[in-house]
Amino acid sequence: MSAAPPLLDVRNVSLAFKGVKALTDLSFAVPRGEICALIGPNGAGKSSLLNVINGVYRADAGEITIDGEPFHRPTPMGAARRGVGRTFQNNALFRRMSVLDNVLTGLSTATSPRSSSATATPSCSAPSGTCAAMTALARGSSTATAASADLTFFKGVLMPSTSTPDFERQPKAHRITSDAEAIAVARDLAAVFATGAADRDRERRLPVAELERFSASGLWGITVPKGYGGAGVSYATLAEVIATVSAADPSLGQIPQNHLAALDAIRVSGSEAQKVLWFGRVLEGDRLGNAFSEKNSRHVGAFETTLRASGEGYVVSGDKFYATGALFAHFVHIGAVDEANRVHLAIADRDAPGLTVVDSWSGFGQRTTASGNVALRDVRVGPEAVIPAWKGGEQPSSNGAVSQLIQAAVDLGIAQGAFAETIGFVRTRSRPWIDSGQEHAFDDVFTIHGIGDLAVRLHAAEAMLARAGHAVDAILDDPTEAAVAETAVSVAKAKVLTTEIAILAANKLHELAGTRSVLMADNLDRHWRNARTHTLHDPVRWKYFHVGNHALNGVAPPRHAWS
Amino acid sequence: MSTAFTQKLDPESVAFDPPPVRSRPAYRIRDDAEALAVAREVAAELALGAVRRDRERILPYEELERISDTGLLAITVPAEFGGAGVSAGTVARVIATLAGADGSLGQIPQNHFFLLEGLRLSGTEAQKRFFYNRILAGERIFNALSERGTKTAQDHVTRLTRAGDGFALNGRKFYSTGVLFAHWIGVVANDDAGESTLSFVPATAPGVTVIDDWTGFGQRTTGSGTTVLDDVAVAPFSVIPFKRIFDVPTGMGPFAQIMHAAVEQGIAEAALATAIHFVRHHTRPWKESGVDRASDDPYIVSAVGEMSIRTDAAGALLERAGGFVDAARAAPDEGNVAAASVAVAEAKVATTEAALFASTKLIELAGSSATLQEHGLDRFWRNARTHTVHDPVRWKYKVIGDYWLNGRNPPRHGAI
Repeated sequence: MSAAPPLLDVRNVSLAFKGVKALTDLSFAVPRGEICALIGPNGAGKSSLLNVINGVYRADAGEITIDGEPFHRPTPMGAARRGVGRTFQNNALFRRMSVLDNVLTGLSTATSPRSSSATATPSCSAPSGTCAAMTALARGSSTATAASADLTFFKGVLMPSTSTPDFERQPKAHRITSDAEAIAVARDLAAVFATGAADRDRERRLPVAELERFSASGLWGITVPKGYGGAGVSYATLAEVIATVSAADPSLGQIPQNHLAALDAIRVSGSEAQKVLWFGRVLEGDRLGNAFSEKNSRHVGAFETTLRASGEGYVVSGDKFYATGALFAHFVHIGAVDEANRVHLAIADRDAPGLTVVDSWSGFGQRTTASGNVALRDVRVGPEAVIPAWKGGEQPSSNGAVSQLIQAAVDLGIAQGAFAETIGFVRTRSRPWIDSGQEHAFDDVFTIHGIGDLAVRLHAAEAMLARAGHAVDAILDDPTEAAVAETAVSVAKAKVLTTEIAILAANKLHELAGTRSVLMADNLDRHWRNARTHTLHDPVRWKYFHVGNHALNGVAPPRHAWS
Repeated sequence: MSTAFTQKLDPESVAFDPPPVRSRPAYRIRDDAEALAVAREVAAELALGAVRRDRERILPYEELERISDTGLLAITVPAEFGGAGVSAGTVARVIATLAGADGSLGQIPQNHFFLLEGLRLSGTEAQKRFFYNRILAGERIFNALSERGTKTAQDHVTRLTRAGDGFALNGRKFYSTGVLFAHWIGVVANDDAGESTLSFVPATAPGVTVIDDWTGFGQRTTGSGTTVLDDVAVAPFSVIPFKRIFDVPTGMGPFAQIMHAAVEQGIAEAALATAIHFVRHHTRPWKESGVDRASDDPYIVSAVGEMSIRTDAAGALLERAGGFVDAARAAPDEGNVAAASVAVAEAKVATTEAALFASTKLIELAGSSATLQEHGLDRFWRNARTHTVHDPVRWKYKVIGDYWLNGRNPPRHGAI
């Protein structure tokens, strides 16, 4: 018998927990170079076996040999030294590390890594077909090169804090009928969403339940025109609704952003039948999540994702990033270019074959927006699902202004949240400064002055956003070139003011509240992290320019979603 | 005026001998929209001579007559007395529009409307009927409020004392904006009981001397001067109880203030418009920009954008404040008057900043040639700086902060 011993040899292993037999006289061997998968129903003992091999449990009977050497006195560290690593499905992943790095952890902790690990059974939540590639990479095998091609997509992919939870696939939404009701519903929801916002951010816990509640409230359908059964609210109302929710949790406020922008694209560019179909679905409670931006295209407005006619319908292929809301959407609206390089929105079922959404968002702010990658591999969509959105940019339309207005509303909400947080903290927790001569921090003359300054800027941003919302209302049915330009300028002004106050208020919060406001337990830095992250969507330095160019030279701002 | 006086003296029973009514016809403005349109029209006309009036300090007598003719000075007369009874937001916009043409002309109507608001809140039916008719005829009433040398700007030593069947006024008032152009002078004085009163005295009354002594570097032609009151006989009919305007919550304070903010807003808007015009027609491109026209310099374009944003932000706050002021004027209570004062203070902070910013930035963007005397472009900053010290914004921040942080209402007086 001169053949090499198996890399892993499990012989007659048994394990019981107080009479419950997990493993009974189990034997198998894994030769070098072989991938062994272990499958079985819940409770079959898969995890128990891995825990025995890994040194977490000690077997009641039997013997394990690793690379020819008996594995006595097993401990996880001892196993690691021999090159045995273990990756957990959910509750022991290293957050903020990529899928690949999680897989490779077992190797990195070994003091002298062996050339291979005996068993690696990464129960990853990645699309099927990639686990093998990861295992191969984990084993450091040169044969992994081909398989790892697929893995490059996951190199930067962060582990979700939990596996993607399920969500209601057949929702039923309340029907909101007026502006006043929309605002009242938003306020009620915001009170609920505010609780837990800090924890969700800290733990990066995706707000699935909150999201379900949000869209079930009917707020995701309020801009559907009255003629299609919606409330057709003023865009000033929409801005207030988004700001109100964002003040409680700006990730939640941001998630419907692209859904709402898509509704306006459908309103402007969709056929009558498409409007009836999609507005109807949205009023029922369906959520749209976007797959619009691409990470590697030349600039934000360039697309490499393609839409090609195929049979009765179309196929869409490409890779998307920053796909806010797609993770928990019922439908994903995909920006894709046809042969003539015109941008369409192709609305695909979230569960369509070839469409994969990965929770890969690793931003330091807006952490729970359910943004991520969307991989599109020949995703089929019907003709009813392809909206010629390019029309909304070619002709003057409300599309760009609607998109920007919602962006600004999220920032306004962040500012409102930070402002309220500052007042609450200074009133109840801050100590008076030594030089103030006051009993209470809130009587410090400079603190009062500072709050006064914030209030002025906050209310200016609010007033400007309301103005911009009314300007949008006026171009919905009559989008003349001049009025669309004026509206874009109005929205840009609001965007500048909301950006400035969001960042200022989030900063001043700590200055006025004092050092105790930086303690991790309160997680108050989330306001600044959220403000700084979300305000990068489109940089305000170009807003000043577009506003100035319109005022000075009569040049209309460009017509796209970022202006 | 104390209650004792009003009971003893029946205003109608004592001789009241007013001067003849203004003879030029005045147009009757019907509503808010018309007020705004008329203001735009007359402002365009009045803008033409603004540089020269400022440079040579030519007092705008004829211009004020023109404004009177348009009916703009009567727009706050309530509908039941034949006026348009426009909103506070409209008043603010009208003032901003006039101030955009000429900062001084924008400021002059401020205390005219302020005094009319005092009449609306505290005048008797007969007083309202009489004075509103005069106002609808285009007459102007300007103030004699401030005094110099008192401990704070709100203290008064001018006295209204009993004299025969009526009263006598004695004192000296400074910074009496518009008084040189007045048909009537609204004089604030303490009565024998030490309570604040407001008398509407004909500018032509014996004992009234108006001295043109305003030497400020900005708002040069506001006709602000010193009013000397030497034993001026005042009929009881002319006396309006003033103190109670601030004893109970009224919209008087925020109404007064929103008009001040509007003056600054008008200056900011005019500085922006002037910057755009100057850059387009006069400014040479900077060498490093590599562009043929200054208006294509990306930094200039962007700076104009910032001026526009700051100016419009202030304008939006002013408009927002108008809604609060109207709510407080319609049914004043502790809460809505405080909210209005705070909203107006917020607008005042923003308009102050915008006016100073735009008037300074104008010169930077326009370039060295913009400093030449003939353009008079420095008038925007001189006007903004002068007008914005009327009541310092540093204490506005305090009032605003105290309201939002501590839930404390602002004090009630004419400057908040």
